[in-house]
Amino acid sequence: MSDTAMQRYVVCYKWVLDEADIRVLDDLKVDMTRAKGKVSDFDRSAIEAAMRAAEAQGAGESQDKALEVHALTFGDAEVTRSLKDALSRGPAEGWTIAGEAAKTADGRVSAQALAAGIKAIPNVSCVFAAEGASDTYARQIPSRIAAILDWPLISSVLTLKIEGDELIATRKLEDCLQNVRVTLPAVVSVLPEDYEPRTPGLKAVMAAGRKPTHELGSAELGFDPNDVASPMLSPKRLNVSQIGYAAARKNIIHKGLSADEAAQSVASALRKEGVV
Amino acid sequence: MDTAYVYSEKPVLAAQLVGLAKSFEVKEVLAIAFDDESSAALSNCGADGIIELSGDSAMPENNARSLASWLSDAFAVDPGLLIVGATSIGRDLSARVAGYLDCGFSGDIISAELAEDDAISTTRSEYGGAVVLAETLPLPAVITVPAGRFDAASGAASIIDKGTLEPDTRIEVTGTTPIVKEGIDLSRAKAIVGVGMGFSAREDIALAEDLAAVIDAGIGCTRGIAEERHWLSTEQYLGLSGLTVAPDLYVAVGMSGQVQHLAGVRDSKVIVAINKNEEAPIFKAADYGIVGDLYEVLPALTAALK
Repeated sequence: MSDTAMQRYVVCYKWVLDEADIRVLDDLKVDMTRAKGKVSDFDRSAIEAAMRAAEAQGAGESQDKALEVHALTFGDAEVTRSLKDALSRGPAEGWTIAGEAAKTADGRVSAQALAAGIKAIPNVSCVFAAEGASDTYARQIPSRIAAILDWPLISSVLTLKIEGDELIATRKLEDCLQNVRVTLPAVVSVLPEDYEPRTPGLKAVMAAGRKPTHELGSAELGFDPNDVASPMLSPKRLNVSQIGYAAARKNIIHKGLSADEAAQSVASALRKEGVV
Repeated sequence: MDTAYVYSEKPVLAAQLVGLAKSFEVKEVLAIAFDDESSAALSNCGADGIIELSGDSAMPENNARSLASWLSDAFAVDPGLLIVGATSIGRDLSARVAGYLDCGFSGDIISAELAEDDAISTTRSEYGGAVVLAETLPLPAVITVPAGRFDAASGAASIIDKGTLEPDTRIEVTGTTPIVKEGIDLSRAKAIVGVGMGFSAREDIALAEDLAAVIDAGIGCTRGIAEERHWLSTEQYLGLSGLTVAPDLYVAVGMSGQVQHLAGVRDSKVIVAINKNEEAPIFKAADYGIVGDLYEVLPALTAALK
């Protein structure tokens, strides 16, 4: 089957700083210097969802490549380091949009970049994403991509299957499960619950290093990812600042007391607080 | 900005959005509804008027494209603000509207106030709650607001305008199954006992249930308990990507206190932690802590509160 006839599912992921490594200093400044990068936790589930949807249709089993999952990310120059991790989770090829604009990006800019990337990849029939990234958790990217492409969006997806050009999903809303059906192309954002990501084995990690990767630039995107002055890459926000969150708690900690003594003390305090 | 628009498919939340919008002292706060039943449910939401735009009420989020088109006409005259309730439907709808309008968006805000020069300043959590992001969006803009964050407005509201939205029929709803919630509704519970990975067997959760029975609490848990061990339902998992709660009392038992979990419980009035590791971050987030084996401390606390 020729390359242009091959159908592709694109899964978008974000290379984020690990929130577990972030330190809030005494003056509430945020120290991220020790934070390491990772593929956003929720995006690992999105990759898993895309892989399962493709594998259920026989992707990866035969030489006749009718369908592949490709991974797409937008970030600064460091983002290419994420490819091996992302591709070890299954996708056949990786695409990056790397540039300075990622450093000042808001959700609008990230979505514009990713949507341009999706348009640059041939024959994309379905876009997979998580509801939100584990750093910002703003939950706007899948919606914005769907709007920019003017494709239907199925959000809050618990499970899905694709048969031909029809996608059938169960969405989990606050008070109901909703079954929906859409004709591709579409954007889906998945919940992590039923998509526990696979743990890549040594073989998958080794193979990931040999998979094709592509860096998208102005020729494919229509804008240069380093050009922060490009209208496509200008954020729709003015001032941005970050401070650490400080929990104002009493921190009355009992140690070395017997379980009964400590329990009596806490019970008495809770009665005084009027919460029991 | 003369006009702020609010939308939520949950009437109680819509009234809270009106409450926030009124704090901006704009000329009018208008509530949007997608059918006459929803309009009727907003009759006491405190808005200055209801705009009933007949659209897809089975999937309100599929009104995004046509609502954005309607708003873009309104915002061309008066760059305003759309405030949406942060539910699954609301988040989907609101960010799609922001995408079609190509405007700024701030989701799940903690606070919002009007800034000069027709802009809105918001704060929201990032990095699992470790960081507070402050940002200013030029108007028009879209924000989402979680339930319970602002006081509800009240007062009679009536329909002042009607319109029709072009239907987006690309997605078909083929069935709906209500989620039957067992036990106490955690989003409204006065007290919650949280189960962490320190419990070594599923049946030991009975110890937490004993305490919950004494203090009339619901049972919540960490992501690991719900999604790795599958000991409790995902509806009970508290945290950034789970349920966010604000009870009077949260008792965190046998959990380290990862930021993602704490983000879901940190608005609790009083937090009690039980953990055998005194270095566990949960103690920094607690008002009262007991360093000890939960298998001894938890029954003792249950007895002391009887």
